[in-house]
Order: sequence, then C-alpha cells, then structure tokens
Amino acid sequence: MNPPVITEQERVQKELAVVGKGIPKADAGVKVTGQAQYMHDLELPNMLYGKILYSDRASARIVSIDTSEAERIPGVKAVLTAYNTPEIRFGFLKDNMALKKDRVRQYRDEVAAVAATTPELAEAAIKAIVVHYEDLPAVFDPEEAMQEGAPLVHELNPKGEPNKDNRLRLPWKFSAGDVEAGEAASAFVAEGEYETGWVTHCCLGTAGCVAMFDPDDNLTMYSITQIPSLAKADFQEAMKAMGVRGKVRVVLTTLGGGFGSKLDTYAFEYIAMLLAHRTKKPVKILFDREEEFFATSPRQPTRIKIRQGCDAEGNLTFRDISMVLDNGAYTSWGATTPTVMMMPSSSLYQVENVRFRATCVYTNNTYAQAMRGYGTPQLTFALESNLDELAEKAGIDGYEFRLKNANHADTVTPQGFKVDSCGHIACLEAVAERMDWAGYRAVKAARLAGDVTGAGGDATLAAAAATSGDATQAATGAAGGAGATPGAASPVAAPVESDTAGVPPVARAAWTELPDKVRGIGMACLLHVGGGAKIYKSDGCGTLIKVDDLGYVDVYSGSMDMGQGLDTVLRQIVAETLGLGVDRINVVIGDTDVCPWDAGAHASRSTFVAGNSALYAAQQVREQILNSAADILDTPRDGLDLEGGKVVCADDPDKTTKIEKVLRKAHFASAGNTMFMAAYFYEPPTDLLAGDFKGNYSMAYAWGCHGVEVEVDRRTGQIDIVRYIAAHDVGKAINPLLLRGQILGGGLQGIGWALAEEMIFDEGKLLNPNFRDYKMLTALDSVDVEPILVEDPAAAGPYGAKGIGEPGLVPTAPAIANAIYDAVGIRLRKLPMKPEMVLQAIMAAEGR
Amino acid sequence: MAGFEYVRPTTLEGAVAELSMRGDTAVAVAGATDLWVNIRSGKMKPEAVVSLRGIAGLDVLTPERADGGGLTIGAMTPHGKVEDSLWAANYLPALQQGCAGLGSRQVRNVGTVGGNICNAAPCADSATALMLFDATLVIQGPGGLRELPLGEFFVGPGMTRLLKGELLKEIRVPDPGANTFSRYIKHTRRRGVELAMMSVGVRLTLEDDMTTVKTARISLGVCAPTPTCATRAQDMLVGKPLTREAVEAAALVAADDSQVRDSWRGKAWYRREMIRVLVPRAMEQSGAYVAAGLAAPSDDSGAASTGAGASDDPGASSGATEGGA
Ligand SMILES: Cc1cc2nc3c(=O)[nH]c(=O)nc-3n(C[C@H](O)[C@H](O)[C@H](O)COP(=O)(O)OP(=O)(O)OC[C@H]3O[C@@H](n4cnc5c(N)ncnc54)[C@H](O)[C@@H]3O)c2cc1C
Repeated sequence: MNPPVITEQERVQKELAVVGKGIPKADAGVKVTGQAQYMHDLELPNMLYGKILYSDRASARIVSIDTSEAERIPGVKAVLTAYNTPEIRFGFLKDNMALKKDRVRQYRDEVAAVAATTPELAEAAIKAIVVHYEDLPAVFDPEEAMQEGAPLVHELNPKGEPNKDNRLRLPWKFSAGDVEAGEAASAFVAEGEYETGWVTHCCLGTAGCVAMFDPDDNLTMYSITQIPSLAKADFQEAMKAMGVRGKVRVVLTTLGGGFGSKLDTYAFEYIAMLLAHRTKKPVKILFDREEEFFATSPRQPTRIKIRQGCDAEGNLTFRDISMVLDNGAYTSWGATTPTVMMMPSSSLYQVENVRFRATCVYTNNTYAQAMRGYGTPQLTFALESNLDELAEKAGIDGYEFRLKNANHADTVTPQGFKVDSCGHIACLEAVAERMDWAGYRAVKAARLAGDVTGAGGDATLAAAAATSGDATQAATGAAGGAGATPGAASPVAAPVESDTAGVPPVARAAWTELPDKVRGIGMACLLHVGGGAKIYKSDGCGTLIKVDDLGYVDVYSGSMDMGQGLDTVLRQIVAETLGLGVDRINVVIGDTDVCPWDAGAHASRSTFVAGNSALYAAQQVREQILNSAADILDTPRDGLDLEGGKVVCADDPDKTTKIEKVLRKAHFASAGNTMFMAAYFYEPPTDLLAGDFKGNYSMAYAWGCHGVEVEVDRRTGQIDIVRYIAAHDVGKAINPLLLRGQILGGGLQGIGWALAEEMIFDEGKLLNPNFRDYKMLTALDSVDVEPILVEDPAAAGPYGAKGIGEPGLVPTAPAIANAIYDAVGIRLRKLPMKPEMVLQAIMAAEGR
Repeated sequence: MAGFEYVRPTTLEGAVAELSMRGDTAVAVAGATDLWVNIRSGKMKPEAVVSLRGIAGLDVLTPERADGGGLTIGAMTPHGKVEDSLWAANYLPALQQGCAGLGSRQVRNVGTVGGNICNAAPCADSATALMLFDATLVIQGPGGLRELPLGEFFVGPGMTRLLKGELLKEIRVPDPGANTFSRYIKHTRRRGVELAMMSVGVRLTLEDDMTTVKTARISLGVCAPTPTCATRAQDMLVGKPLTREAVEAAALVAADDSQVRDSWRGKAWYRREMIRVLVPRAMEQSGAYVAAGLAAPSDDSGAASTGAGASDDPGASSGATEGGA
C-alpha cells in the first residue's frame, strides 16, 4: 500500500498547533525526580543475580575449568560453562558464542557464569572458579593481523571451514565513475592517512537484563535493547538452540543511555537466559561500571587512507578511500560501518569519480558495535580534514571550496541517492555568517600582509603568523600530493613569515615572540541518512492507534525511546493530526507482546519512520472520527475538521462539538460496532543496500555544517573551544527543544571524542575502565554549542522532518582539527587530539 | 565486598586507643572518599573502620588574625570549607586554589584536608599546595602529641611517617609574611572531577624592596613518588632580584630535577615540559611580577596591589584547574 500523501496544501493550510513547539520530554518529570524505573530498579520475586567470569588473557586455550568450589557455596544456584550448556551462537556472522568453549580470543570472553541469591554470593562464586589456560599467540594490530603467518583468531569460520587468514570476507567495495581519469584531470591532489581509536558510549545506566521463564518455557526478557523486535528474533533463535519451545516477550525498562550500544544483543543476555532456564527463577545480570567499559562494544576504530583531487578551479575530480578496520575477535555491527561510511564517501560534495574499499580484520582486541554516526564520524574526520588540505593546495578558502562543491536539491549522487531536499549550502552559509568567516579571514589576511593595525585580537595575529606551510611539513611530514603547484598562494596559509621557514630552529626566535595562546577557525560538513536506511529487508515500523470514548488516545509504536524523545515526538504528531492536546496522547512502547514490529532505534530513523507510521495511522483514525461525526451531526464530511479538541463545523459553528462527545455518541448510538482504531505499517519505499551498493536507500538526506573557533595553547598543547556553531538541515523541527538537545548532546559527545576520550588497551587489555581514567567530558567542560536549524522540508517526512539523532556528532572532529590547523599550522590526523600530541606537533613545527 | 565494624569514638585519644588496640586490622576514616575506593576495589580489607566524625574540634579553620598571619586547619576540615574561605583566598591563595580544584564540589564537601595528606597520593592537591607554606603537622599518638614538618611526612605513594595508632590532628601554616604571592595550577585533561596529570604550586615572599626574593617555594604534584618541593630551583631565586629570566631558569632546573615518569596517564617528557611552562605561568598569575614591576596589572596577572594575588582564573568555576578539554 502506498502511504497516503499529505499534500503541501494540506500542510500549510492551517497553522500547526503542536508540531513545531518545544514541548518538554514526556518523561522529564520522572527522570528529574529520580522516579524513572531503570534496570537497576527492577526486582522480581525469587530473583537471582547472575555474574560472569571473563577471560584474563587475550588468546588462550582453555585447559580446564574447575567450578566445584563455586558450586559448594550456599546460595549459588547454578554454575554454567560452555561444557554444561547448549551452544548459543550469535552476532552478525554468528562467530560469537554466549559461553566460550576450548578457546578464548579476547579479554572480554565469557568463560563461566553463576546465579546466586545475592550479588555478593555471585561475586564470591565467580572468584571461586579456577580456569587453567594455555596461552596462544595473539595479534593486536589489524595490519599485522593481515600478514601471512599471523596467528589466526578463528581457525574455522562459523560454517566449520578453515580460515586462510584473519580477513573477513565482507564485500565492502564501491566505485563510481573513473578514478584514474579523475586523477589525471586534477590540478591538485591531497592525500592523507587518518586514524581513530576506540571510544565508548558512556551510558550512565550500565547494561543489564532480567530473564524470566514461565512454567511453559515462555521467556520474558526485561531489556534495555534499542531493537525490541530484532532482539526478540535473536532470543527466539537462541531458544531454539537451547531446545526450548516457548515464545519470547521483550519488555523495556528505562534505558539509561543508548547511542548505539544496544543495537546488537550481547552474550550476557543469552547467559541470563541460560541461567534463568537452568534455575527456573528470574535472573538479573547487571553490569558494573568496569564491565560497562570493557564488556560492551565500543565505536569501530579506523585507519583511513584518502586521496582527493580537484581541477584548477577547485572542482572536485575524484575521491579514493581505503581503510583497514580492526574487527576485534568477533563480529558485530562495527564490521558493517563501511556500508554507512560509503554514503558521505560517495555523496558528500559533488564528485563523480569515487572509489571506496574497506577491509575488516580479526584481532584479539575487543569488538566494535554501532555508535552514534555509525562510521560516518570517522570517515568524515578523514574526508573533511583532507578537503581542507586540498583547498589549501588549490589556494582556495575552505569555505569557498566547500560552497563550490556543495550538494544541491533535485540531484542524484554517484551512489544513486535521490536528493530532493538539500540544506547543504544553507548550512554552510549560516555557519559562515554566524562566525563572520569572511571578516575573520580578512583580518588575518591583512595581518599576513603586514598590516598589523587592523582590528581583531592579538590571538588572531598570532594565529596568522603561526600558520606556515613549512611548519606544517615539519610537523606532520604531510605528503605532497601529485600535481600540487609549488608555491600556490593560499589566503589561508601563505608562508609570509618566511623568516620562520627553512631556517635552523635556533634562528626561529619569532616563535617565542608569539603569545602563548593563539586562535583559529575551522569548519566541516556532514551528510547522513535522514529518512531511514534500508539495511535490512524491512526498514519499517508499525503503529496501532486506538481512541477511547473520553477522547484519550493510545499509540502503540514498535519504536522505542532511549532518551532522544521519540515518545514525545509521536505524541506531537498524533496530537496534531487529531486536533488534540498532547496531554490526551499516551504512547506505549517497549513491549513486543503489545507493540507492532519495528527495525529498531538506529540510523536516526525513528522520528522519520516511526513518525510517518504514527502519522498515517492517525490520519486513518481522523477519517474515522470525521466520518462518524458527519453522521452524528448530520452534516457533510467535507465541512468538518478536528481542532482544539473539537469537531469543528465550518458551515455551522453551532454544530461544533467536543471530540469526546462525538466519540461517545458513536460508541453508544451505533449498535456497538464503532471502534476508532487504526494500524499502519510504514515501509519507506527505498532500495535495499546490497550488491553494488547503488540505490536510494533513504527517503531523505540530512546535511549540516559545524564551525568552530579554537584557542590553542602553544606551550601546553591544550585546546580550548571558544565558539561552536552547529547548523543542521532538519527538514522540519517537530520539537525544537528536543532537537536542540540532540544537536547539543551530539556536539559535546563529538568534542569529547575529538579531544579527550580514548579507551587505552595494552595488548587487548583495557587499562581505563572507569570515569577517572576515561576522559568523558564533564559539565565544567561543556561547550556552548550554538545550534542553527535549517528547515528544508523533506517531501516524504512527517510534517517535513528529517532524522537528526546522529548528525550532531558527525563533523565535530574535523571541524576542530581544521581550526587547530588554522591556529597553529599543524595537521592532526589521529584522535583524540590530546595536549601531548598537539604540543609535540607544535614543537616540531616551531623547531623547539 | 566484605563487611566491617564501624567504630565512632568521640575523642581523639579514644580514636587513637581504638586504632592501637586493633592494630593492622583497623583503619581511620575521615570523608572516606579515598578509603571507600580502596575498600571497594579490594585493595584494603579492614575489619574495622574508626570514624573521626564524632570527634569535636577537628573541623576548624582558624586564622591567626583577620588580616593575615598563619592558619590552623583541623584534620577533618573538608576542602569545600577552605574553598569557600575568603580569608584563605586572600592570604593563602594557592591553598584555596588547591582545595577548590579537587574532585567535584560533592567530593570537596566530604573529603578532608587531613585525609588528602594522610592518603599520600602523588597527586594530592591540598597537600601539594600546603607544601608551599612550610606547614607543620600536629600528630596525636598513644603517647601524646608530636609535630612533624609536612615536607618530611611523605615516604612514598600511600606511605607516610604516621606510626601505628597515630592520627593527624591538625595542620599549622605559619605566617608567610607580608609581600607573599602564591598560585597553584593543576594540569588536567578535563576541567571537572579530575586528578592532576601534574601540578605546580609557587609561593614567593618578597623583601620590602618588592624586588628581592626572600622566600621561594615551588611544589610539584605527580612529578615524584610524593608531592615534592623543587629545592634547587627555589634556592636559585632566593636573595636575588625577581626576574622573568631567573624564573625561567629555575623552572628549567625544577624540570630537570623532577622524577617524572612515563605512564599511560601521562608521558614523562610532557610532564617535564609542563613544569617548565607552568612554573613561570604560576609566578605570573600569582601577581608577583606585577608587584615587582615586571608586568603591568592585567586581568590575567591577578590582584597586584594587595599582595594577595587571588587571580582570576578563566576556569574559575573549577577552582585552579587548568584543564583544557
Ligand atoms: C570522585 C573523586 C575525585 C577526587 N579528586 C581528587 C582530586 O582532584 N585531587 C585529590 O588530591 N584527591 C582527589 N580525590 C581523593 C580524595 O577525595 C582526597 O584525597 C580527600 O582529601 C581524602 O579525604 P577523606 O577525608 O575522604 O579521606 P579518607 O578516604 O577518609 O581517608 C584517606 C586515608 O587517610 C587516612 N586518614 C584520614 N584522616 C586521617 C587522620 N586525621 N589521621 C590519620 N589518617 C587519616 C585514612 O585512614 C585513609 O587511609 C578524589 C576522590 C574522589 C572519590
């Protein structure tokens, strides 16, 4: 069935009453007062506490596991290993097992598990288990892991066939046009290698679940998953492996943070199932903070090589990207991030000739998952940093260069994306205007030309003086691109201070004359899916709406809320469509026994897909109400409308009646056959991402541009963000308050990623599994991210909306890296850009 | 996590008796912000903890005079109290800054100055700041009171000269004298809830000519197994006119003499470099340069005229923390 289309006329014909308003989150009150029910609060009668024993080495053969002492502890009800339980395989390639048999491949491998009457006893039992290992060779570097003779992380593939090497057989290749021809037509080429490491979601609520079987072996899984329907399928499959016949119900508690960390199921959930089934009691597994850090799956680390070229006028000619991804020991969504990285690779800016390939390699490290942006932040770091390098080579200001190559509406990109609405240029212009990009540049250019009397802070002067092309070379050993014109003048980084270039360090007294703190500006853009993403056969969402005769509306959506405010947005969409206040709308989510199917909260899809699903269901209910009202009020349907909680009769205002009155009349008068209820399954009519990876796999595309001014401390390497502007093409802001929250949150998470956060591993072992040593930014570090909402409505979006959950994070790191370059002339190609790295590069550049 | 007995004596002598009687199985607890972390992680397994909370008179901040002089700090004084003290901000600014930059406000409300010293971490902020002021510790033992200079108290990480059963009663800071300037800079990766990657404290007392250095102190956190003073660097400054060059030279010596180490929390070269950079910055921010006529008064160099030198730090909300994101 084709979705009913709201005409443009319908959309603008009346002013929106609730959509577009900054209504506070539905659960703001319970969260602020501490009444929200998290997994930590869930207690069931007779519940046991499960605990997991992890491997204490990265690669080893399990020689023996002695659980006898643990079993003797009173209160311990079950001690499980792979040797006394059925094998449950899970994960994208089914290469992971709930409990590991014979071999461990990473520190987070689950070797045994217990259930006991108290968490303390469970802990004691875990400590009483003795495992004997025999160490095996391990490999921690993906490039080493690709070498011939590297120790195999998996000797066999999941089908039981021998693996030849550690490379995963995944088809992550894309190409369009002719890269060689593009390169031949290039006047300038820039190339670079960029590296991003492991960072984690830092959910404040640690992960956990309660598994409970009824006497008929039906499982209720209390869960914090972002994918209720898909998790149900995973658990149902595990039931089969367990030889259990019952059915599965997934019920969500309040999440305590998602950010992608709950987009796949985890071993602990299957272990809870095994423990609950063995003990016939509900079993809760709740991670402590250390487990949350080491046993959940972080962001996919990347090593990206990129080459881009442009002609003499600055038009992009080609883009060539290849990358090696550390897959870790097992395969989850991290291995699939290249499919999303392809998107900006092929379609951010207009470039016809594109090549993209990614290789995922098993290592004995932790394995990665989805995290806000799903690979695009990593890719965008490489792409947008490299774009600045190219612009500089071409002698064109970074902003002008971006404008020249920006995307436009009504185009089809090399990957086959049908771009109907496009706010790319609007976002670029908004950032440039808010930052006074041209003015900043003019002051700097004037200073470079020796006119030091111009307006502007000394910091700007210093920034200008410090920006020397030669210094950059010294700092980073940047590869000169083929075809680069020597001495091409650039307004960004003209080597005017020639006394600092090419002379021995001692003669560079000029550096010490600079103030310690210098400023610079940078920008970076983004492209992300804004209208779902067809990565599964269905990218759909079901909604069921029923209205009672008091005028209250229950909306059962397959989607879920992890704090982003989906339930609030659905309330607004349904309230708007039915002409009711949001207080009349109750959204029911997070129970697979009650709610329809949905592909999960990922890909910034929920507002768009679940929103459309709710919209179309509500439109059907609206028709039911109006048709019924026409009968009851004895007036033509066409003259009726729903507004302000009333059935409004335009021709005969006397007939205007409260909705609930009409509903009651309909229920009571018409022989009991009237039910105001509708269901709708919205399936975006997009192409499945597969094969040659060409097609239109989202209904809308979200664009954005971030602009940042930094102050770099030349003596300590510390970066201070002076100003941060985030312009996003959101289609239509259904709830500007929540939307700003998403942009602000994404921005802060991104700034932390760019500058401070890193999981530090020593041969596979996480050294900093806590907030003392993992440097998530705090309230005192927060930056005043200034959001700019650009509304270029998506024709297919609910009230024109596009998804915005992830974009706020995507261009943070390159925008900051570009600003640092502008300030001190050093190009940082590795995250996080921590003070030591910054200082080291500055000292090299300044010859200190 | 094992349980333990909780003992709450009401006198210091009583607490000392409880601890002496129980020997190694008992440990004193003040705000528990260090102790609890150690118990939770299993590093410490005491059978009893002896709380000092019930003892009157240990949560005090007693200045010698309203307009300066020395200061007595009770061991149970929480950092928040020093942070909030206008007197401390005026007359011992580095101490106030050291206390104000520790942990978070919540931690500062419970964590005590005495606990910070007795815990003897290389990064102890209030202890490192107190090193600047030649503080003396007053220690209660089974046999009575004894005094020990703070500079002689630390033995190694987590190790002090406290004997079995001994408790810290109070910290005495002598009058640093007129023309004193001080500043504590905590170098961190982020601004909030952060242990120092390294820290630098400086204190200068000038002669009445406002040029000649009478006393110089440079204290360092995380630059050795314990909070330390850079004695050779300090000596270079004393008796000579204060100049930027002299301070730079002293900073270099402080850096060279330091025992900075490589760890995954911070690299030795970087910590050493930060000593070089932050010692002069701390001097500048203490207000001493302005007082000595080496710099014009500005927002950055603090209050010059009073000699108080409570400078206005851009990261003021986090005390003296110099964290850049
Ligand atoms: C989140 C967090 C952040 C922190 N940030 C910082 C920071 O930025 N900088 C920093 O320096 N520290 C920091 N700390 C550590 C801690 O807060 C401080 O060291 C604090 O001063 C300890 O004081 P307390 O009263 O809590 O000591 P407790 O934990 O009660 O005791 C610490 C040790 O000292 C002993 N002790 C305490 N009082 C006495 C006494 N009167 N006589 C003899 N022995 C005694 C105890 O037996 C124990 O061994 C942080 C801690 C936390 C939890």
